[in-house]
Amino acid sequence: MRLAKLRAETNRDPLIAIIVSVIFCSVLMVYPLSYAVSGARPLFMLLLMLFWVMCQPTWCGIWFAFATGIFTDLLLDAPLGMNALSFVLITFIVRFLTRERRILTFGNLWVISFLVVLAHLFLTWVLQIMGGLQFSITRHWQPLLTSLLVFPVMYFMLKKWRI
Amino acid sequence: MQTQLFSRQPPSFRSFIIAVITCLVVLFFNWRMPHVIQPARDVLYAAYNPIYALASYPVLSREWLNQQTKSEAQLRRENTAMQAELLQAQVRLQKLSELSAENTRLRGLLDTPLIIDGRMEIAEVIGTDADPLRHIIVINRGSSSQLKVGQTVLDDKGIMGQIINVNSHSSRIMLLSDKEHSLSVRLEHTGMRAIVSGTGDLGHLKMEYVPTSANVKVGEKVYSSGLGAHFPAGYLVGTVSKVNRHNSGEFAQIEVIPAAQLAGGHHVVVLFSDSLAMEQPHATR
Repeated sequence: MRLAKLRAETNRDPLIAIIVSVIFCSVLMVYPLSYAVSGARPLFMLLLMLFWVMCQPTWCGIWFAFATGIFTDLLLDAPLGMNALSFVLITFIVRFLTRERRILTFGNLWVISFLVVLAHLFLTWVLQIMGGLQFSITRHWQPLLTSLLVFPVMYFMLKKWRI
Repeated sequence: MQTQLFSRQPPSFRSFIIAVITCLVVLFFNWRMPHVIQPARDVLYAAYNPIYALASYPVLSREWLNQQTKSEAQLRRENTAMQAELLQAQVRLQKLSELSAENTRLRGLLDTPLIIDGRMEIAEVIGTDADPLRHIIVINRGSSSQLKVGQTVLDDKGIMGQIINVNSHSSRIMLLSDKEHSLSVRLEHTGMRAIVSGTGDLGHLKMEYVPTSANVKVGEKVYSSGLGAHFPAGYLVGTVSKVNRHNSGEFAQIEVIPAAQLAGGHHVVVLFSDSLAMEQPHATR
């Protein structure tokens, strides 16, 4: 029963879904919010990238991570290559560590997403310090919690297209 | 199907290494030679315009809905209030035109070219920068309205900031409170020159390089001086709110509260007259 359902679902072509979801997430990334709230904006693009890389490994790999990273850098006016570097490193490490697993459950993905957001924030923090950018530390870590809450929503919206 | 299920192979090292090296090269270029990256950024900003437009759509449509759902009584009330306001403004304007004419006459005597009323463009704030560490807002006018980088942006209370990027239908404005922003000012009473810089806090600016011995009082108004030919002279920047004099330091620590509504303004005015910027501050000692 489950297998039959699985087969029916995985025949979909995820290309359109990937493109639409990237556009939708980029809108969410720049949606105007007040200064106080915008510090806690979830890292939509990172979560989306992670979802596709984990759930559609045949379609999305290192270069998908690289492309979304550069796209995010340009969108946010961040130092070019900062998000890209972080995305590529994260993708490689996550794919490398989960290479033995056949199927990832939602719980696994959620834990991975938490660790990934943590790693991404840490990496951008280090890169920003190296780049001489100053900012408040408490604001920097706010997306951790909101991203943790947003990932399940994103997962269930895109679940149809996962393997 | 089967190939997909068992396709979770370890990722290829080669593409990973290439991607990381590309990232580092791009980062290096961005760090050392930003002018190489800048044209690409500008082109892509234009390409992102639909995304920014889409993102600002809910904000704009809320405005529109507010307009549509106003009741007639409310509109009438507003109309009456506005007519009264208009009348007052017109009376003031008469006086102003009188003063302006007088000023022109006097300036003619002094032989200094000056235009008092420059053209201005009213724009709407449609967004803030996604980077929470920068104080940058986005307005809905761009190069299609002849806006240029460096123009001054005001609201009804005072100077807000300046334009730093212009796209076809939007521009980005750096606010006074951005950490990287500074402008040259003069004090109301003494006419002393100083520099006001942003602190990263919307409600505070700091005044720098004012000697400890300087005569600065709390509550004094701070105007733009026009030095540096970037901001026009004579517009209100803020009010001195705190003066800290330490005997150890050479300079006093002075806080200024910005006059413009940096946190909450909705409409802004982009100034076109830059002839005022050529004017020297009229310091009366």
